[in-house]
Amino acid sequence: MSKYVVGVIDYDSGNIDSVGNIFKELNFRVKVIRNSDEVPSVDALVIPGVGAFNQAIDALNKDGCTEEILRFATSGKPLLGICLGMQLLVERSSEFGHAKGLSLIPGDVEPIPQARWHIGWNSVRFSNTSFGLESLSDSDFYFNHSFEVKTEEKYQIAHVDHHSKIVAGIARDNVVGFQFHPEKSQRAGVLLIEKIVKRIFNA
Amino acid sequence: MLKKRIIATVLVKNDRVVQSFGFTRYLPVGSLRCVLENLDRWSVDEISVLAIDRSINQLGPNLALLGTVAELSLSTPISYGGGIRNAEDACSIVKLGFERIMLDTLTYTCPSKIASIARAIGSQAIMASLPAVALSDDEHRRFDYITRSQKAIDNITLEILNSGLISEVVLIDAINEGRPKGFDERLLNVAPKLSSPVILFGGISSSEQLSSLFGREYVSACAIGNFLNYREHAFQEMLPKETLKRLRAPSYRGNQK
Repeated sequence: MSKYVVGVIDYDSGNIDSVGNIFKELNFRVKVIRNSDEVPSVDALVIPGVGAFNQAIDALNKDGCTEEILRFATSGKPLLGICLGMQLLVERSSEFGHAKGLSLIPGDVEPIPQARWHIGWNSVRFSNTSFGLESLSDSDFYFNHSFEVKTEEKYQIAHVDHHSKIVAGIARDNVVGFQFHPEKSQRAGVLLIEKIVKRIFNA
Repeated sequence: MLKKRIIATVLVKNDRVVQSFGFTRYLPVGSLRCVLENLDRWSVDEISVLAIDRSINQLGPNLALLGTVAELSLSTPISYGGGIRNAEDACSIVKLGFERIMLDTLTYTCPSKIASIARAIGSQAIMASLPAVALSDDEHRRFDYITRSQKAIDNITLEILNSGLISEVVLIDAINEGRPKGFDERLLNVAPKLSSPVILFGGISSSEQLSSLFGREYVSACAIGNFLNYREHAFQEMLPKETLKRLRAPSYRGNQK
């Protein structure tokens, strides 16, 4: 068992167990974070997410979790956002009105224009990054979203094609996000998380 | 390229998994937990749990039963339908680890609630079922399984389904469900009236059928019930070779996650 503890934020967004399970399979300790004061105690933090942007950010703000997440990220500890959790990392979203995100990575969340929805398994192309994910390029991961992140190319680490190019992964220093669900992508998801945590913890 | 999906559909009645024949006759299969563990181990593309007695008995979703699914920590995408009444039900289900929900009766009896559900969980998480019957190539009816009567697929129905709040419509062959190779392809003529991708369900049991149905651009997935649940490699065997490049690469995890 690793000495490192991965915190999974529970803000009523679902998927907590599956997200935690993927880290447990890799022998990490997992702590479900239900109070914001628990955030500093973990070594890495995951923001999972199924749902709508403004509801999610309201839930985080209500609990005072937003400030703790920002403090955690600026301390240099690793922060991972999954699906809606990735979208929360950027500055703004226009889903059901306008809402402000965590602004850890510059960018906006906008509706997917042509297809409107991107649901199911799609082959992901990973860019050359320090996480060494290129070997997973063309693996299929599970997506379920109707809004997409628009950000500068330098923050983009993965893409998919769905009528147009959609950003599937973003990163800025210690903050990483994936639009797909590694925890619901079976073996490919485990391999992806394994590569990331190996890099982060040198474990 | 977004892949076409084969969805393993698990029908639940009285909290037990059942084999269904046209939604009129049922045989017991076993516990939900066992069936889901198997499907997850066999690496199906997606799982859909449909509790077929919740709406008809005016019961909400059985959250205690669904909570046992959360404990399984499945690594396969999973959705739930049956008795969902409002945004609160939808949120509770998503919190238990289901990515998506399928609305049944509510879609037609109280469509105004769909907007509040979409605001809470996002429209990407909402599917709606359209049980239907083909009377001819051009004439189709919605099958209301509460009253067991047929109703017109009129403009009001289409407005609801095309509101932009529903990301996929599950077009169900209400008559041939459970019958091998029974899916009535005349129902496909409903699809061009729908603005969302369509999932087909009911009497789909062979790779030849899947090949033919996946040839339609608007078909995003085929859902299979009885025919996937019993044999260890049924899912892998059913992958249609002709359309393999449009599907996810075969994957079988076995006991190793």
